[in-house]
Amino acid sequence: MGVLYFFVYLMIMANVYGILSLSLNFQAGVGGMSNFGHVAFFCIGAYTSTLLVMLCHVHFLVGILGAFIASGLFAFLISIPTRRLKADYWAITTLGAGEIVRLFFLNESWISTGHYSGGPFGIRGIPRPWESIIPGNIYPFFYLFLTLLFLGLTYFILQRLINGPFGRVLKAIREDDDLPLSLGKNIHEFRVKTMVIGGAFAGIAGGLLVHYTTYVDPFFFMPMETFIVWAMIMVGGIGNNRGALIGTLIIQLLYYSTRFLKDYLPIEAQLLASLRMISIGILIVVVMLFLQEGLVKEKKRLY
Amino acid sequence: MLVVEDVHKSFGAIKALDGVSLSVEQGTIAGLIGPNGSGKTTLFNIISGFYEKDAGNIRLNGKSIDGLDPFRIARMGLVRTFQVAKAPAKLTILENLLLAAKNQMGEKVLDNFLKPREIFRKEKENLNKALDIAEIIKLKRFKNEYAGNLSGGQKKLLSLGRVLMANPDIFLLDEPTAGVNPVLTLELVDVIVDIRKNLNKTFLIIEHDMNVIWHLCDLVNVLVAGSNLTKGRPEEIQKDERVLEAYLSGSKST
Repeated sequence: MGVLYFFVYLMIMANVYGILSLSLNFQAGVGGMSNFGHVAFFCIGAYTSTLLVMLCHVHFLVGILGAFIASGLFAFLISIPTRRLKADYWAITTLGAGEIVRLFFLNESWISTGHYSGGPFGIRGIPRPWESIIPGNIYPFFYLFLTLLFLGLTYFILQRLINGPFGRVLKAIREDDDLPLSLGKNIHEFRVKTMVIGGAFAGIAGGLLVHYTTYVDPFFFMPMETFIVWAMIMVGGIGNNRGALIGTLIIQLLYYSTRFLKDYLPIEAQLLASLRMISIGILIVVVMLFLQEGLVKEKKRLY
Repeated sequence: MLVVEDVHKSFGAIKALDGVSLSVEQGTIAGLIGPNGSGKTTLFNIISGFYEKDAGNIRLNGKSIDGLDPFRIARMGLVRTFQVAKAPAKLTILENLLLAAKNQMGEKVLDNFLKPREIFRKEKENLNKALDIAEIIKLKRFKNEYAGNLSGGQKKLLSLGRVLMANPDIFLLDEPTAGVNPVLTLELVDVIVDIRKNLNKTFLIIEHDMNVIWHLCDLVNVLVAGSNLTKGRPEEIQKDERVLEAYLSGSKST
């Protein structure tokens, strides 16, 4: 049974990170926008839903909707002043934005739900949705289904945008500004929209994460999280949504299953944690050397 | 249709354009020639909004287009091509053509979910048009090939295909036949003549192939060192000693 529950937990995390990697793939893989601060939207979504549900006593679904809107708004806020920056400068500003958000929640400890809550204490006791009507032993399965539903919704919406005229313009913008401009495409507007859409979905992922862990603190949202999501889309195949999901699964398997190695190998837990990051690093290097486009290539649209 | 008045542009100490004026009448094909470095492409970049000019003014259909973003100028009906052909490498030939269609409902996020059927219908229409254009530019058999795999000359053809797809009121073509084989060049000349005749469109063309210029243009503008040298009908320009001299002294190309 333990193995089964572990597997379910792994899949829940894969679904949550799947939403993150789909949304990053939309911005970075299809739109060519090197967003190194994706964790900012994840974080804002997590805190927004937590605070809405715990302080305003709204339903979980309203919390998730709030997370969607708040992180979309934040994406809008940071993309307005930065929309004319060149790709490399833009990447640095997103990295900065991610840290600003984390440090904001770390230091603004009035954002709390009571004593010993907020700031570095984190927030405890985040309610799980429909917990009172679903028996504890099948709850993980229910949550797996719930996250899968949101993942499916994200996939459907982003896939439709990528496959249509919107995605065509994004792919043109990915390579060069001048050509789409010469054809009457408002590339700055496209970039802002892409940031907002990607950011909003990452917010959903944040909400889904903390309503399962029932706890959130700012250390969930270290810059490393962004790079783990980058690893997922690079390994799976940048520009391809199915690739992004496969990459998510591989990295999550690597990330979570290695913690059981300590039962079989004489390795200290601390060393194992480092080895885990090293193994992800090696995987990226191998993929970049031998499979530049990742495991699944970007799909060609045939007519 | 298009009026350019006394345009100036300097890059550092180099005066790329030193008071250039020209006008293109509705339904005509105007040529823009001159030796390398005479400012032809700079003028295109300024007209299409990619460069800011230092002085002068430009009107399109009587409206000033000074200081507008390139995409706004394109939406007002002026579409240009680039001297070095651009083609998003990871879009296929057909996608490159479809990209150019204007007023695409599917570029609006919400309409993708509110009006999927209308978008599908519009895409189908554009697709048929794109296939016709692929036929004209002789790239139909590569329709599902990535544009990144095309040769330089084929990318030039694709650029021309894209402007045909965009269907503007005025076409600014920067060396449309450079790198295209002579037989196909003649066919493209016919295509341009047809579009002008049947659809009453307007063209401004930079070209080094004098044959193309003589065949195509109603009026030829000659630039030398950022200034207007002269303008006139092709047969007049052909006989003009000053034009020949400018070309020979400027550079040996033509």
